[in-house]
Amino acid sequence: MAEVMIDAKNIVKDFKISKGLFRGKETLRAVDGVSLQVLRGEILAIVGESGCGKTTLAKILLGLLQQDSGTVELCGSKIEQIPRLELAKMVQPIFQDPYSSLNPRKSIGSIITLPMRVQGEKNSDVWMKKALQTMDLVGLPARMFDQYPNQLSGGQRQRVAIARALINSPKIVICDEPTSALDVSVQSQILNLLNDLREELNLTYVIISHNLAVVEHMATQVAVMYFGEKVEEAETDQLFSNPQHSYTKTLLNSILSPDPRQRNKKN
Amino acid sequence: MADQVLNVENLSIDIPLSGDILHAVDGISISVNKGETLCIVGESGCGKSLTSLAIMDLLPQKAVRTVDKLELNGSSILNYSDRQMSDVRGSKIGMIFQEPMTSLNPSFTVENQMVETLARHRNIRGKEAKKLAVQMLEKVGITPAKQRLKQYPHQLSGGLRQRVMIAMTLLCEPELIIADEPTTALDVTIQAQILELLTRLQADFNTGLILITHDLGVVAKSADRVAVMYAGQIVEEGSVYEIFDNPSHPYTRGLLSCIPVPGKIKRGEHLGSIPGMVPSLIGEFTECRFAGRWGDTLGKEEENIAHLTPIEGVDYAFLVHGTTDHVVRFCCNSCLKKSKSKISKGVN
Amino acid sequence: MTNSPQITSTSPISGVKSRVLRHKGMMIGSTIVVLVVLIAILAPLIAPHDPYHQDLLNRLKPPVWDSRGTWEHIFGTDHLGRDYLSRLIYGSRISLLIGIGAALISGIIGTFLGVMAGYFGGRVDMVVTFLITVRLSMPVVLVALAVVAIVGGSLQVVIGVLGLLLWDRFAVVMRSSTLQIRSMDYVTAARAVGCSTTRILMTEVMPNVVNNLIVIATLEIAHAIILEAALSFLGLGVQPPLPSWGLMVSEGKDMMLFEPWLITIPGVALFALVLSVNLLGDGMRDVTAPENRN
Repeated sequence: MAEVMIDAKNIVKDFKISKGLFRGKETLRAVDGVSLQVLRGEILAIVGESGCGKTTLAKILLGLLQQDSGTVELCGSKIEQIPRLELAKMVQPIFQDPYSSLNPRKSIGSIITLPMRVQGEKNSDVWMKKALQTMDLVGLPARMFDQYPNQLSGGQRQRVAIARALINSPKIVICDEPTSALDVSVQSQILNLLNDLREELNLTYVIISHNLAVVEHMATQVAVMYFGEKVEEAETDQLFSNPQHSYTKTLLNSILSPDPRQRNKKN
Repeated sequence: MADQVLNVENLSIDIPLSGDILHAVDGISISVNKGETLCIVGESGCGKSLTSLAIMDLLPQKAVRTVDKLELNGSSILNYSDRQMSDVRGSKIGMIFQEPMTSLNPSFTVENQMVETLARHRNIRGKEAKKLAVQMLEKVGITPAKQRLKQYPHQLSGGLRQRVMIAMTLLCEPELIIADEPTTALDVTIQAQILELLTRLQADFNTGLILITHDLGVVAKSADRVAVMYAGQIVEEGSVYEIFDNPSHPYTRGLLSCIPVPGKIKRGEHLGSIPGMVPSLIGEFTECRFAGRWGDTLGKEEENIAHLTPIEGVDYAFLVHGTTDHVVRFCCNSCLKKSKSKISKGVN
Repeated sequence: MTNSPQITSTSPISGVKSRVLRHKGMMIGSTIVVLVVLIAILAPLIAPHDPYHQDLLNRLKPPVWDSRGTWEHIFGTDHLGRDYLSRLIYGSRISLLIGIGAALISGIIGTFLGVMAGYFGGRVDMVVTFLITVRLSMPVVLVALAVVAIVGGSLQVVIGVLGLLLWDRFAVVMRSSTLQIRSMDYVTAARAVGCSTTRILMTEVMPNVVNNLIVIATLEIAHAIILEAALSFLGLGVQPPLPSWGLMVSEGKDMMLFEPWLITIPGVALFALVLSVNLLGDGMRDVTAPENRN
């Protein structure tokens, strides 16, 4: 029986939006009763378009945002009860924008070793060694250790973000649109890397994406979100061959296939 | 050619950069006919956006544009003054940008902006202008049009804003529309709708359309002809079916192998990739632009070898065997050799 | 979509250096400021006379370029026979001391309030914004005058009062800078990595707002210098016999018609210093602004 890494039940998250100077506040329900379970080694993809609540859900699963109701358990423990540093060792994020996920004033080495230093590692030799090991793992040359983000390309920056996320060997990695901001040729490099790392380090992924082709290639399970609700969840092959919900069907129809002869076909 | 809307020959764009020169675009030529969609596809830094700006004469001040021919509907706009170009932009060439949030003025209503465009370029005002605006909004699929006219851009969704942008562009009945990544910032379900809209309107109005994108899915859906750009050069061009059926340049092949396609590769296996990075285009170029990027999904199998016929008078440019307009360009001899293409001696 | 692959091969610092050298305003500004700082530091070595030494026999001597002037007193003497050049030189110390002192105090207060408001938002932001609004509705010069009138004028009082009044621009700019930084993914990543809030503020936020901080600081230094001159001119700033430039103008105003150098010399000095500090600040802003990164 595989280990349950993430067990989220009935998550609800509201945001209060001010409607104007004297018109008070209106409540926006970003996540509306979503439940998810992810087993060790799985890759769950959460798909949906802008405003469906997927990023909010990701932040809740990372422990960065607290849900208004519902429970989240990571590896069996309630997320509120996991101390900050423990949580950091369990779950790490990879963000969409490689240009805003690295502090422009810090060197690459400093960025990648931050998780170790925060955990209390005082020996700089230990950081260096682990950092160089991780950089090698993600395909970054050692000389980049002393460089700054503005000297790196988008793909290289994303690799730095991956190295930072993995240096402390987390169990779960939550990727929020990890390749949407990258060129196609770089995207495939990063996706291949993510696949390799998952196998090598026995990671569990939650991948948030609006790109269904990427989802089909990477994920084992897919959950579809629409306006804060989870409208469908199934194994990838099942979802793609036999979608149940109308929104899922609309999403699948919108995939633009790189085959000009398919341009007028509708699934 | 009476049908030709745009003809650009030998366009180069150089940008001075801290003491050296960035050769952003290196001698490209493109042409578009009425009612035809040309897709310029490439990744960041290939020069596709700069090309569109060069056509409209909207390059940043420091950039230097050199071009042999720049013709709109047969007449040269190469040496047009600012004033003349300003008249051309908007009325003869329309432009649609990527970010619908920033291309509409947030301080004015939709009606205001549309009516202003009509007044500026077609000298139509008042009731007639409003009527035309409503008609155009309906044509792009916005209903109820009259209510939308009164709204401000921030009250509209991304997809709606882009439709308004398209409507505004069409108001002046331009002969050529240049759309730079028009659907990249939109949700996937809206993407297909907008692309279909563009294609339909283009057919209705018989305009030429240049669609700039990095997404081969968009190309497959909308293009009639395709130009693949890499490192400032057009490496391959031809009809959309040709490009997808017989990609002959290693970059094009690499690009196609990178895309995840549902059902094509087993889950967990590697996608194709193009190793390395685009080379820096600053300073003089001595190396092959594709050096180090060959990877192992290119040029190995027999079926990947292209059969090419050299084009007389043009270095390293070849017609893909059996076609009349599918052209491949290599940047240098080393590239050509490595591609293991079979060159047959041929005419033309 | 990503921007084109970065073509800079240099670290952020060396890029800045070359931009600094090409920015004329900044070069002029920094040269003058450095000059004034050197004069202030080396005052005892360069001043030809004791700025406090009164010599009533030699009072109101004109500067050397006037037909009656001598090289003994290059800038002439004031109404008490004190050498003007020496007073000017020592006066630079006062202007710089007050400028930097006030900017330091107001900088600390304003930055703290601004960063707190920007990072935490919500109630903290409400309180800070309220404080800024209250402060902005106070007329600075009148309040300063009132305080000095009650407490008595002196160098320390002026620095203190100005420091406690000039923090608003710091707060506003730091708040908006912090708001921007807070929405960056690297701050979220730092939280996910387990950084404490203090650590995030010190290592992720501060280094990225320091640019703006330095620019505002230079502008507020100039602001403080002018305010001190104004207060001293009105008699409610630094007290005689200190050679504050503003006080020198005040003391010379009665003799303006016949001995104009008494007010023009310190006036020009003030103008030059404030202008160059402003040029320096503008230059810093231009040079470090990311829009200028081609």
